[in-house]
Amino acid sequence: MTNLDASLALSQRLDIEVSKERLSNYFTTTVEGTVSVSKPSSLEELMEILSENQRERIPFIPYAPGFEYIFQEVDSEFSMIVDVSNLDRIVDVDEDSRVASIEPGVTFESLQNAVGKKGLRVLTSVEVPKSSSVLWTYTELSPLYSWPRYGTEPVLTMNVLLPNGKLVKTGAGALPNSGKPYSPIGPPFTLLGRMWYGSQMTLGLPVRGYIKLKTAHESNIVRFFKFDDFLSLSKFLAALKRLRIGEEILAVTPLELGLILSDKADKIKTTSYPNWLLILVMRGYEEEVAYQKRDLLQEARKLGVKVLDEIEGQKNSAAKILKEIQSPTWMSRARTYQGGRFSISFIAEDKKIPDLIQLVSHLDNFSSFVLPVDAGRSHCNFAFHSRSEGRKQSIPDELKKIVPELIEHGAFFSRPFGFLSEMVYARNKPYHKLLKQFKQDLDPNNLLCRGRLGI
Amino acid sequence: MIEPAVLERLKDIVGSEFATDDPEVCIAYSRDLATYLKFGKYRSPDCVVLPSTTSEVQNIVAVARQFKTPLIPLGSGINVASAHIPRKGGIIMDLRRMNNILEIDEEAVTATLQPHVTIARMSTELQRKGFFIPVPGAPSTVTVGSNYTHGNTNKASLRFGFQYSHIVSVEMVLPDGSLLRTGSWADAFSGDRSWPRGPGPDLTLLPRYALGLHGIVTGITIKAHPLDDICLPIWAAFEHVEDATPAFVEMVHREICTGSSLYGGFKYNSYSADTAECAWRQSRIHPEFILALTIQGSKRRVAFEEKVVRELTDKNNGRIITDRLPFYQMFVDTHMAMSASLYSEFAFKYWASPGAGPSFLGPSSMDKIIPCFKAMTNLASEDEAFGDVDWGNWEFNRSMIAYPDQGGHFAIIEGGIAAHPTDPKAIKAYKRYVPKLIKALADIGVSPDQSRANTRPGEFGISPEYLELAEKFRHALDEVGIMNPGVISPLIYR
Ligand SMILES: Cc1cc2nc3c(=O)[nH]c(=O)nc-3n(C[C@H](O)[C@H](O)[C@H](O)COP(=O)(O)OP(=O)(O)OC[C@H]3O[C@@H](n4cnc5c(N)ncnc54)[C@H](O)[C@@H]3O)c2cc1C
Repeated sequence: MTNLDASLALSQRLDIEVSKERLSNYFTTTVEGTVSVSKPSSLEELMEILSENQRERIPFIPYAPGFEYIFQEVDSEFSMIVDVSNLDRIVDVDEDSRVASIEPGVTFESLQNAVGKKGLRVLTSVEVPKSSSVLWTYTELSPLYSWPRYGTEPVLTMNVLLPNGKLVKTGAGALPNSGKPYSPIGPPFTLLGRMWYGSQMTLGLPVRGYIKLKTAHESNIVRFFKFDDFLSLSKFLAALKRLRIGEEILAVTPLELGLILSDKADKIKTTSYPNWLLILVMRGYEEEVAYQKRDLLQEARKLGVKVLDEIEGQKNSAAKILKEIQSPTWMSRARTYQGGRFSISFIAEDKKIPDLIQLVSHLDNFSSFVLPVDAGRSHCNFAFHSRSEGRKQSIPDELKKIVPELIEHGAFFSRPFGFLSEMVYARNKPYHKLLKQFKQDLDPNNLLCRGRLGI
Repeated sequence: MIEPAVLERLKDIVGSEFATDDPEVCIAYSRDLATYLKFGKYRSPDCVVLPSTTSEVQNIVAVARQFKTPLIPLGSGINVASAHIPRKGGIIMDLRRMNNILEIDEEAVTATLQPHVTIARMSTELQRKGFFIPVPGAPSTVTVGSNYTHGNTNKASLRFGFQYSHIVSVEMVLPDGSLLRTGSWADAFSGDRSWPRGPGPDLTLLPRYALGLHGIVTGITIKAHPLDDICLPIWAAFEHVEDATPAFVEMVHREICTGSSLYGGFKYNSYSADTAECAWRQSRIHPEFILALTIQGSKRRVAFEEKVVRELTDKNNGRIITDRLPFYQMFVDTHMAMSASLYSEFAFKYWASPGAGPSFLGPSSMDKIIPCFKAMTNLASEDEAFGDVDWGNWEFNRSMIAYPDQGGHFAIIEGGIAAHPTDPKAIKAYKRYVPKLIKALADIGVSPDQSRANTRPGEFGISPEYLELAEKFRHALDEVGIMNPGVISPLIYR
């Protein structure tokens, strides 16, 4: 029996919805092939699949809506995807604590709609489409996505399904009688609450998350600032940080701005845009936003920076930005711009960002967005949009050559996807060794996301 | 007794004046404020060693491993749980010589230091450069390395989160002697220590609440913050928990204030009272509930937040009590760099006692503040000793503090009945009271945190799946079992 037959048979035996799909629907792979996609409809079914996979030694990769496998090559032997899209219950919205308890199939769109009715909002990741899983986006990407005011931890605690099918609850969830298991501070060994972040599902699957919700304010104001270069922008950022102004802050290059503002990828105008545009969103009670506006104006004057209510020549740009943040659509356009988009994300000190840009700006249609994550450092997304079909194949290879240089010049790939992991861990050997040890303990048969992260 | 060969090796590593098995020295290391109550079984270390560099720590770990000798790292030693006192003898590694500030990165607003720099010193150095760190309620002599990895609350958690969220990266000597660095510090070549996550699965919190079992922290990078234009402590007093709590909840939900905690009953004055008598006297004149708030920011921000605080206090029948105090500056100092002198010996004992201080420290939520306080109060009033007005006027002796996280998604609530921990009548009463309290808390959905001093074996547990995983990792790191053996009681552990 082939691996594919075995995976199909397993799901059928367990009476779990299963279908055959093309491998390339799920991965950026050059390998042609077919996989079985099982869709459990409850946690119990998911647990069953995991323990049966262990018994039959079937390697598998989990999938949730919008969960991309960037640079993730798989071999043709690979046969099974476990798709958790049907685990899509919003189990609870606790208005007192402003916490939602959700399964991984819950998307930003559905959660935003559900909590919006209660005067609350979900912290969105500006580049992640609204159809994506909230929980897995947070666990995989949030270390890089930050809301200056709210830090990098939108998940309070979670229930994690280990590769062997056992369930572990983190933080206060590990204490009995925790009616509301929201506190990440719980029993000893806090590591057990944190190590799932950025783990690319190699160590277990978060199947329930208790996530933070915020007040949906009526006063939401956007301001724009133009800069010729990134260094002057970063000086202004430092001042904002001290004043604590801005719930969402985003810096973009002209092409990126064009992609955000246009409705269609083939109708992008960038000529009138500045080299860097800083977008800042203030939210709060009316009086609160009013004093922040005055603080902002005063600071901008001091630094000789002009405060704009709208992007010059772009009517309704502020409203458009708010809509994009509430419910992001821009990345789906960006992906179809010219020959398609390839991007890499990393953390860098602000002062190093101009040098890093120098290294890559010659590649096809370079664009970038930068999210300041903390004082003096930002999350950078460098994107390339291939000029032709032919270039589509070669850009990833060119990137592979450039990444070591980026690392040398201060790019820190805290999320080392695909080929990046090898390059990153070559410089972090003790860290990698420990990860391998933990992986061995959790998944001795190496079935879950085999090969990923080199563990 | 330590094998002579072990002591010789240790002396070779650190120099003969920094390693000793002198019983007089060792006995001094076998006691803290909690052990004298003999709630656990403690032993004197067989020897004490004081390394000054990371490589010395690595070499000491190698010796301990070779001779299968227990090894216990010691920070400030005021964890109120005797977590640093040997259960099985062995070597205490006193880290006090590792007290250098390695770097203050003014652009990334972080500081990198060896573990034994005190909060007081770190605060001072940072404030000189225009930055600050949120300080814990602990005496400022506590060391950053052990407090950030084993402490909890701080005086600015509403804005910045609790202590652990300030750890940017750590350098640790693992139990096999190898060196691990986390976050961007993990990159062996870049020298950048400014990013707290990854690479990949995030191991930054490996030492957090691990009681030395996962290795020894030899360096830590912590997050600091730019100093604000204004720092304004403003305290509100209330007579009833039903008034104080809604005011508090609304302030927290509005995400104003940098620091905030709700002190109920006895708690706040216990810090400075010298004797039980003094504490009781102070309690009688102290307001029943205090919201200890601090507002920081620009002039406009402070004005706005102060206005909201005053409105909400007024609306909920409270009053502001800090307006015209002659010693107001003390409140600012306490907030920015907790003064050790505020702590009396009594306060230390109160904290260190097995239930005489906090009977529970529970990760919880804001809506549990009133039920927790009522459960505590009702049980105390029914107790033959605590309810006995002649013995200690219980009404003033119960205490509670609630510390919310930013936005109030969760809160840490701690509570207890204060009495002098050496009072035999009190000790007897606690033995009756605490199990009942734990049960009452369980009924309202609050489960006290296991890792604290007052958590005694058998009272309640941690989920077996969690413990199994923790044990797996501990074993993967330290299969020989040299690190702080026995620190987690098998009864709690199982
Ligand atoms: C009166 C009082 C009030 C307090 N209030 C607060 C408060 O409000 N907020 C707060 O956060 N804290 C508070 N604390 C302090 C807090 O309890 C301790 O800081 C914390 O528990 C760590 O203890 P320590 O620093 O004394 O470390 P230690 O007691 O030395 O060590 C604690 C544990 O960590 C291990 N350890 C020590 N150093 C290392 C290292 N370098 N590497 C690995 N493991 C190590 C030890 O073996 C031990 O198991 C208070 C303490 C007192 C006495």
